[in-house]
Amino acid sequence: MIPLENFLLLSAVLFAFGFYGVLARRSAIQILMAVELMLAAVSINLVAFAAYTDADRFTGIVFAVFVITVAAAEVGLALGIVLRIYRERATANVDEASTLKW
Amino acid sequence: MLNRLPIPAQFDRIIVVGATIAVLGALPIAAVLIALLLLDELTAPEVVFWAVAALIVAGALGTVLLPNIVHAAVSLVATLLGVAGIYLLLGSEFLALVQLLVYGGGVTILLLFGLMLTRAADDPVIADGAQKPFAFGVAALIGGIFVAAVLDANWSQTDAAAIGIRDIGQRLFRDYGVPFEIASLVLLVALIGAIAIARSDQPEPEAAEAEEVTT
Amino acid sequence: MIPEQFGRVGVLMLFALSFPALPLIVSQLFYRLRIRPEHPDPVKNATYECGVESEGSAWGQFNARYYLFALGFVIFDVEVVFLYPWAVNHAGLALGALVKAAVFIGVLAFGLAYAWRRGALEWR
Repeated sequence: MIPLENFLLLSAVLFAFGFYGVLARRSAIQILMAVELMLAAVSINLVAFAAYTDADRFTGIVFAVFVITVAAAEVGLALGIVLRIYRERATANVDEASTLKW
Repeated sequence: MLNRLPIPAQFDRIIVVGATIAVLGALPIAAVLIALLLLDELTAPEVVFWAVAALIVAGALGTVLLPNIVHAAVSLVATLLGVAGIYLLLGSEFLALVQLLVYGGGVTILLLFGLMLTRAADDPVIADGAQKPFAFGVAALIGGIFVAAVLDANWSQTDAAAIGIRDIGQRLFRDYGVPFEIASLVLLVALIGAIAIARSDQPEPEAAEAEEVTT
Repeated sequence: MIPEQFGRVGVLMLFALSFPALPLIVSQLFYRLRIRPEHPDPVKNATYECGVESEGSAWGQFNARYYLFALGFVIFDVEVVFLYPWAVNHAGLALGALVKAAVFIGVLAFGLAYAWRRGALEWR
């Protein structure tokens, strides 16, 4: 039997990698990919808690389904915005889209 | 012109180099895991867990560290497939299916399209910003806090049990009907919003006429 | 228990991976052992040896219209995910589930109609 801690540690490591990617990358698409890593880490956490500690073993799973749904919608919309920025200023780097920056 | 095409010889080299790196990384891990399995130190699910965890961590490292964006996207696929394996180990085949369907198929295609659409022809690849050391420090801090919290806590746990797709269907439609409908609204908003944002600027003849009528 | 059942799928997956990997490994091995001859030639190295000559680089920029089609695919992919648990046991569900699924499909059909009306489905 695999202890619950293993899944939680894996998810913590995955989340930290995704966090690093979000902070360090310049390209908006790479930031989105790192966000996907963080969402995957969260989903692993939810499902692991549902499988090990939840009495009816269901809530975490349905949460994970909704996380995946929202992630798909988010990626679609965010890439639309990235395409728009690219069309306006020929770059997909977030540090060059700084018009609204104070 | 021929020089610019990826010729089969180059494909061969890329595949061989990539496969060599992958095999060199995977072989020691596989050897250790199989040795532990044979010595009865680990059970078969645990071996699968560690193998999948290694795949996930390696893919995540590649996603955030590789300078070439396409390589990073491909290693993201490896991570997401590994996460599907974790869901299987946790006894949720439905989530593994969803993960493969939505991430393995859809989101990855969307990200790769995004890459191909925004690639400036002579863009020098400087993937990381100047804030990289700061980012590393903060990420290490967050990861360290999480790991310490997980190791410190004392979870009351039972064994992981499988959940079938039929149970999920029953509960989803009985208890989560409203979130279910809201999810369809979220998808609708994403579809309409992305169409409105990403469409080209030239108005269609129909839309232009409609605007004339209203003004 | 699920992991045991899917262990067989894993074995099958390794088998499937070895299918494309083995010829490449053997070919590379033969090249190292100087059994396979190596005489590169521009025509032999073309991406397609026969058929339409390919032009430009594989890294060329795609047309932005592809994006809307990919987006539509993902949205309806997620719709399928939600309808799958409904479809596998629709006989055991109450009538309310049918109504909920119908509303769900209806909302997304509205999105499809919108995309159609705005010409996002047309190749212009």
